[in-house]
Amino acid sequence: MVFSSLTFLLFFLPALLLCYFLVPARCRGVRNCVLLLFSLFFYRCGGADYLPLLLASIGINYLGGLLAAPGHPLWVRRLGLWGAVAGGLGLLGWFKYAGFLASNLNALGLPVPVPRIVLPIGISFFTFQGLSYVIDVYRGDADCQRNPLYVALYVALFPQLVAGPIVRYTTVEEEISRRRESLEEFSQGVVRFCFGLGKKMLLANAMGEVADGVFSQPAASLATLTAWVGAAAYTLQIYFDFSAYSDMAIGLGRMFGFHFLENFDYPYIAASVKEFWRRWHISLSTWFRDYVYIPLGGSRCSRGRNLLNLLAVWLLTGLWHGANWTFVLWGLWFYVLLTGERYVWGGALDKLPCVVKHLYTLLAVMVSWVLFRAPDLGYAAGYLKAMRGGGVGLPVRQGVYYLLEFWPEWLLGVLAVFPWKHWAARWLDARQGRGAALVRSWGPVFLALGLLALSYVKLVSGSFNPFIYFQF
Amino acid sequence: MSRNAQRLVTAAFLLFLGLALAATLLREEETYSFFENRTLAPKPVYSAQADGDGSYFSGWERYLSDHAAGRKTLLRLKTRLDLALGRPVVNDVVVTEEALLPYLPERPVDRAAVSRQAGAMADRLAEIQAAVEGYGGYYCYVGVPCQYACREEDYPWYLNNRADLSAWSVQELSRAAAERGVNFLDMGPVFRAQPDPDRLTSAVDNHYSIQGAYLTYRTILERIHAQTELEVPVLGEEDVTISQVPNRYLGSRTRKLLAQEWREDALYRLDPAEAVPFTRYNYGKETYSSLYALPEHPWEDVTYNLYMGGDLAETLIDTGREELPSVLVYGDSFTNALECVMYLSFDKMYSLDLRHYKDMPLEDYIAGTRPQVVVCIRDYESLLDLEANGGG
Repeated sequence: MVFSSLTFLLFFLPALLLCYFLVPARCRGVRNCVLLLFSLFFYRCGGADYLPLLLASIGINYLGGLLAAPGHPLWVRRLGLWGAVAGGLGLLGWFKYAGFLASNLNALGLPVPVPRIVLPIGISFFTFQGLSYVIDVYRGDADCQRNPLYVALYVALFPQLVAGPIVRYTTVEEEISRRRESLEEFSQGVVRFCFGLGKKMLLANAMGEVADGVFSQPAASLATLTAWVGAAAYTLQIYFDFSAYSDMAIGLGRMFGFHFLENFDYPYIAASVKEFWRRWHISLSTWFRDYVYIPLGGSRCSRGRNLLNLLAVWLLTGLWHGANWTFVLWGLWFYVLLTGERYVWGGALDKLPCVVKHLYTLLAVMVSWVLFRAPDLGYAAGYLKAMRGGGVGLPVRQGVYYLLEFWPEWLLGVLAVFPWKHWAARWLDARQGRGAALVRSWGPVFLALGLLALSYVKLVSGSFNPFIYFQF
Repeated sequence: MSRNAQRLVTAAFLLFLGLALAATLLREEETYSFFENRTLAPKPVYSAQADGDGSYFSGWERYLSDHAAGRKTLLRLKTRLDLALGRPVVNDVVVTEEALLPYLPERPVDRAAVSRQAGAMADRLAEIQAAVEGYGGYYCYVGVPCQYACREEDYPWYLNNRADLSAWSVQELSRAAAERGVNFLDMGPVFRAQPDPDRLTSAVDNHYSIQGAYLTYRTILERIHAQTELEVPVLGEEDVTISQVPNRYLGSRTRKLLAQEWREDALYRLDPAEAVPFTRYNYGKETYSSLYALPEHPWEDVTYNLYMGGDLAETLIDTGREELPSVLVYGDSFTNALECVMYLSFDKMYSLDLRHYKDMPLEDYIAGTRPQVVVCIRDYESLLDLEANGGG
């Protein structure tokens, strides 16, 4: 089930709101049980076969947390920690990487049967989330949660269960047992949810149609303009798609009194790749920073060691996104850019005009999305060749068609990557009149309701509605 | 947000969810969408396997998308909005000043694959022709340009009109047919040679007009005369009357646009100056003696189903003129308009649509009825398609 679906909007959400808010606020435990049951049902809708996997992951993290908590002998705590790490990564490894590994061994001449495994929805997200809990408990950064239902609620909480953001236990630790739902929180959640829904239905899906249309063709047959149009469309699609999901997750969390951290901060206005990664998928990059990069030594070590640490992080980041060499190359691409900015051209980049810095970043990111979207390395190479004018090339007309057909979405999409919300708020704050106050108060409300209405129109009339980050 | 704004957005959101839910639950169940020309998704059937792999709940999503509250109105609204925004393609229809045309996604033409397909098609046609000629009959495979092929110039320059694919398909089939001695008649050059080719096709539908069907009829009969000694009367323009039906023409493209955009076009019927009485049998059963399925009221829209009442598995028109030869016309829906003319020159006219007729293979049907003339009508889009009316 996805948030931008009628089953969610018309049945799941109303039923949950009704059941949840019928329970008095003082019965926090009952409300949590309602939320947990609905969350498990939400996951089950994607396939009942995978529910045991989620429950197993919850069990592993609960037991791991109990054992890893301070107060036990060190060996028990380590057993708890490494047991949870091995269990969580073992499940992830089997379901996500076993087929990839076997195919590569076969390619190397080692005949190994390739298991046919369907990737369970959201496994990368809930595995990382569960691990962060056990590691934080082991480190003493979080208290051990002795109530298994609350660990289950933390791991399985439906807004962030299948496509993030990766919520740290410390972020919601207090709120699981002591949170306050209110009209203010609920209404802010509604507004945020509607903005996310609109972003997904009106922009991401349209750009997805363009990207799918272009990337479904042989790379060698693409004209330069069409290849660029496809890359630009995918660049917008992946941002609006994923950030929309995060918006909806944050909004839904807010409706039930949870405060998830922001996952995106206008990444396409970054002036360097380093800055881009401070703004893109923040919950993942901080997860790797805190649980992989810093434990490996981070940057407080020799240059050689630092390069190795970064290499490990970016290889893992690439592989986290998918079991395919294109994702490995995607990770390596960012490794090269980030180490380059740190050790080679960072100083020169700082001195360049702002426009050039933005263009450099955008170009680097667009190339990365081509690697990300391509089904294999050969296609990626062919596509990049087409982008630099090396394709045999269908007539440019296809690119022109995509520009003309989706002109409103291109226009809105390009505008929407800029932080208009902040600019408008600053502009309104500088004005004292009644008009400014009205716009500040009512503007988001009407905009959100308008987006909800338009999204419903799109939901009912269109069938093109995939979520990219479900595959991770 | 002020307190009032918080109240409003919360109330509006909850009201929206509640109303949409109630309206969806109370909505009258429909199984078919006329404007989309498709069956709506049914309620999913529960099975442990479907539940396990998630297809049960995705089935519910498909069902709800098709049965959501206000769907028809919202589809119209979206279509209106897209038209107002000036999108060149709306609901897969290319909207031009002159016509409403099909959107043809850009694909490189695989010439070798087309050539292979043309060879395979010609092989199959040679088999059918041999079966017909085996008892002394005459066979002709007729290619008719469909709307996009007739109106290649109407497409904006940045949209694919399949001109390359159409030309290559016809050329390769002509070559392969000639090599195998298959009697192939391409109506493309005949249409293009007319002084006003636009009137032969529709501005709003994939099919040709009755004028196009009549021209095809005459060309086929001229070829029969040129290649055989069969005595088949040809009705000239003075022998027929072509008159416009009063109902508004809802072409397949207009229909895809949910009747939100129209182009000037009409449907016509062709009647002989001297009536030819006949008995009609649909699937072996005597039925109403009419060729034109006009709506009950003049204010109702009429579709291409006017001709012969649409696609039927098997039809027989028996004029009881035993001195004339019999004919079998088979093919896709392009046969329908042609049949309204063709029967006038034959004793019996059998009509088959192998997409729907499953009783026996084509060759068995031909052997059973032994018509002196067998004609297959395919449009350019399905010219090389071996499925169903391609002979299977």
